[in-house]
Amino acid sequence: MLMFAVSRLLRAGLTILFVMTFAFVVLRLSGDPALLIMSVDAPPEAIQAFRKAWGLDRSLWEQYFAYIGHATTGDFGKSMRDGRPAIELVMERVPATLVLTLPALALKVGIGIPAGIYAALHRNTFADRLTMAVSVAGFTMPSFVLALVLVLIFAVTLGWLPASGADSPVHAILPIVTLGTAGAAIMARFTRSAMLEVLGQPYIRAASAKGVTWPRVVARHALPNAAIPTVTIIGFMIGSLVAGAVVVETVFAWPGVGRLLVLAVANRDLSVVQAILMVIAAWMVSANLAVDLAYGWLDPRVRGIAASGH
Amino acid sequence: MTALLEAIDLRREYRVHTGRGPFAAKGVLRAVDGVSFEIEAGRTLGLVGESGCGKSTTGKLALGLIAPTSGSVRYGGAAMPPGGSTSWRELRRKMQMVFQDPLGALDRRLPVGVQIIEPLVIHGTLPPNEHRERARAVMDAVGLLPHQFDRYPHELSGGQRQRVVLARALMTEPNLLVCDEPISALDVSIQAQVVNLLLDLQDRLGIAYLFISHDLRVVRQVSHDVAVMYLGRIVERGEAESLFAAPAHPYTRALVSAIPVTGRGAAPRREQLLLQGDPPSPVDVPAGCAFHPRCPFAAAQCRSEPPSLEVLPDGRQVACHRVNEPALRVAA
Amino acid sequence: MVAPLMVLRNLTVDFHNQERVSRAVDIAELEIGAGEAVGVVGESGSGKSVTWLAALGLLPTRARVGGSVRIDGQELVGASADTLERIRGKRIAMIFQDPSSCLNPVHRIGWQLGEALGLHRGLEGAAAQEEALRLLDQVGIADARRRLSDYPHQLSGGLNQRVMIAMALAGQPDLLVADEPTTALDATIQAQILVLLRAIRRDTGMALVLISHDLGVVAENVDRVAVMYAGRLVEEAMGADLFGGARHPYTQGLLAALPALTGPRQRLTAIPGTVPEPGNFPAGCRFAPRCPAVEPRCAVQPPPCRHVGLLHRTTCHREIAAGASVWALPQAAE
Repeated sequence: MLMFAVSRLLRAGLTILFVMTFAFVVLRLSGDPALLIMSVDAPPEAIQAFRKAWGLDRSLWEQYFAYIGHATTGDFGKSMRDGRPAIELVMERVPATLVLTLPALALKVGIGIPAGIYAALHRNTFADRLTMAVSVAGFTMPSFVLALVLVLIFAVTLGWLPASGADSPVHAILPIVTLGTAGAAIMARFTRSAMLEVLGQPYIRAASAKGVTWPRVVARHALPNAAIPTVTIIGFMIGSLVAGAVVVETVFAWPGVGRLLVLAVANRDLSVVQAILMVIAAWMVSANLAVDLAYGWLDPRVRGIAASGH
Repeated sequence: MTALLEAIDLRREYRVHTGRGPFAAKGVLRAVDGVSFEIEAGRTLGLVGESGCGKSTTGKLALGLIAPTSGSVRYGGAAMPPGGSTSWRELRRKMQMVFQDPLGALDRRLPVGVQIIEPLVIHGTLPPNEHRERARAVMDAVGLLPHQFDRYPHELSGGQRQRVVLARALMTEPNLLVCDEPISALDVSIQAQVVNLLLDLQDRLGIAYLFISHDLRVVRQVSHDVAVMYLGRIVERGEAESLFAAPAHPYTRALVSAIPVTGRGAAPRREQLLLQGDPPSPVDVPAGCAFHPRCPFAAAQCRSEPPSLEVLPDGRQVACHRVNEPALRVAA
Repeated sequence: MVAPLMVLRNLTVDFHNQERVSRAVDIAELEIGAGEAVGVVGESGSGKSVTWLAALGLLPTRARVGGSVRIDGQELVGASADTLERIRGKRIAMIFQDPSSCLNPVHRIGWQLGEALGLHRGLEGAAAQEEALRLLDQVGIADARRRLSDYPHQLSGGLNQRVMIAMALAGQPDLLVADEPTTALDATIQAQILVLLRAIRRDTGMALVLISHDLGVVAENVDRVAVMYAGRLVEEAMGADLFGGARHPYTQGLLAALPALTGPRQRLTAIPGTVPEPGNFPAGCRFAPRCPAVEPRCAVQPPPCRHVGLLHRTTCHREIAAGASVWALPQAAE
């Protein structure tokens, strides 16, 4: 198990490094921050001074190694806009994002999984078909369309909920619903197919033949097996807790990490963008690691217990 | 007379992980562990054994589909060219394979007639305008009707599909057919049809077969000689009828006694030799004789020294240290 | 005359697939006596497994079961889920073909055995564990204590089948239905399992229904044999009578199609044609298209069931004499 953990951690570290490098290169190739931040008709000496101050006049390799070097000590650079440490800017916005994504995750799991199980147990009935139709609508609709539709109904027409901003808990309702809908739909569909796959297995019939009551067969025989693939999807959803709300935050003017990312990219605020990407990568990698460990707990075949034969 | 196909001390090993993770222990799976045999033109060698004995791997080695770790195969007196090379491909005309699952061996999207003709297209032995004619003749020989040429595999029954696979294998007039469990997936009444067909084809066309199966009764029906495999080695080899009537190796005796009979005809009461436990895995081949942990007659020598195939006066070959002890011939 | 343990009468199973309905099973009458071993033989499409799944109510809802299945007088067809759940495992147990996939992969063997013991015998905790060990011992599993904490994927096919048998015995059933219990196992392991089943029957007096396509497996392990073809029972007799003197053309053909391990090598009799599929069964006698002794009435009228000897019945229009094989006639060419 130790070897397993060590190798996974190494892999995680490599992934994060790769993401950081990728962001670094792409950002630097996409435009000159100096020209963007200083206005176009600034004098060349001022632009040159800016470049020198931010180390942009050095070669790409030098910049890269300097960045990585600083990163290992926790220094991710400063925002070019307001000079504050990039990582501070990012971390102070994370709670705002979590206020949206955590309840949304609860929605996705709390509605999606029961709906999927119900649909699977009542396969090919009207209830099943209805659930699946609604779920397809749920995940095919782009989130900004759904957001605007909800705003139109609940904010503009009915006036029950505010259209944007983050002043009170009530402001969070529409964004959370928007975020949760697509995820719940995907969760329902996926849970349904995982359950159907399991229900078709010989051991389910064998359990029934043993005399086990159907509710118990579903709860103790089917669900634990259906949980295994479902955990993958939940893992993805946990992984996107930090980054998954970019569009929604923008539409609802919610001051979270996603909104910050959009602004920082527009402004070519390199350090902030890199810091955000690194935080996202680290979070996703941890979520994946947790999923891998969860597999080991849920599925004994994965634990590496070799067949003992006799 | 030179044999059509000769296998000389074939060995095939696979590296496997015996644990999990990138630093897991590695082991060696000895799928085939020193197998030698000859097949003569127009005759059938049956290869029997239970799962994990290496008979399928042996079949693929015989055709050159996979390369042996050591040892060699000779076809028509000449060494088998390496798999994938042009000369090997040309040899495929003369050696074909029939697999267990006919549906899996056929392309679902092509009519069976097209698939039957395909070997001619690949090898170019006949001008294209004669292909259909030949296909018709071969289909007739295997008992397929002309209109079935345009059918798709899923429109045919299991027995018909296996006939399609056979027809396809016969198109280039091969001398050798390796059949790997060709009838296991078929119903009993259809199995008889295909078995009779194989025997008829052998009579008429002089094809040799390497017939691989776990079903001893069928193997006896079609084979002239039989080799019994256990954990990658041949433990007994001999003429089919006498081998099954009076098996010499303890494993063969256990295998024969495990086959239930329907009791028709006055069959004498057979020996009952029941093995204990499960067959060990080919990753963990026991030292000495591979069979000794389950053998009711195992002695000290069996645990340390692997026996080699000894030729008995009647031509039978047996790999057993104690084969010549008369007391063991009586049921244990 | 003791009443039989189980009686199947006019049992029909219809599968509804979109608009089509196909009748997969159509059994007039079959009885199982207490403590008796009956073999059910048939090829694919014969309905041999579907019959017993229907009896236990284990078929999906698109299958409609009609007729009557009684165990000790209790009707099972159309019974409530409650009734069926009480019968399953406790009075009738069933084991299946591929033991390794019939055990739940995420639960330990001990847990799965314990579930059966708790359900049928009300045993919990230490008492359950003791009984589980005793059962594993009864089925010949060495090192039973360690096996209880193993998972199914850690055991071989043969061991898993023994565990399945142990679970079936946990409820102390009157009848064990074994659906191709050894087909997925190697020959030497098959022999072990069959010996085990014989020993258990001797010790417990349990009745056995052994379903198999392998006539040999059935011959050596049962008293009476029922042969099914295309959903119907075509012949039923004591083992020796069936194998020594079958009276139905299909049974005769099946026996003649088997290669023998001893005796002279003869050309096998191949029954021409293929087994019909449910939904495409011929009218009249379902074997008529393939039968060498066919007459015009065979294609029109379903054949009657007649007694041809002691406990020997066949469903055929023709009266075939004992010892005469229809396959020896000139028209039995392939």
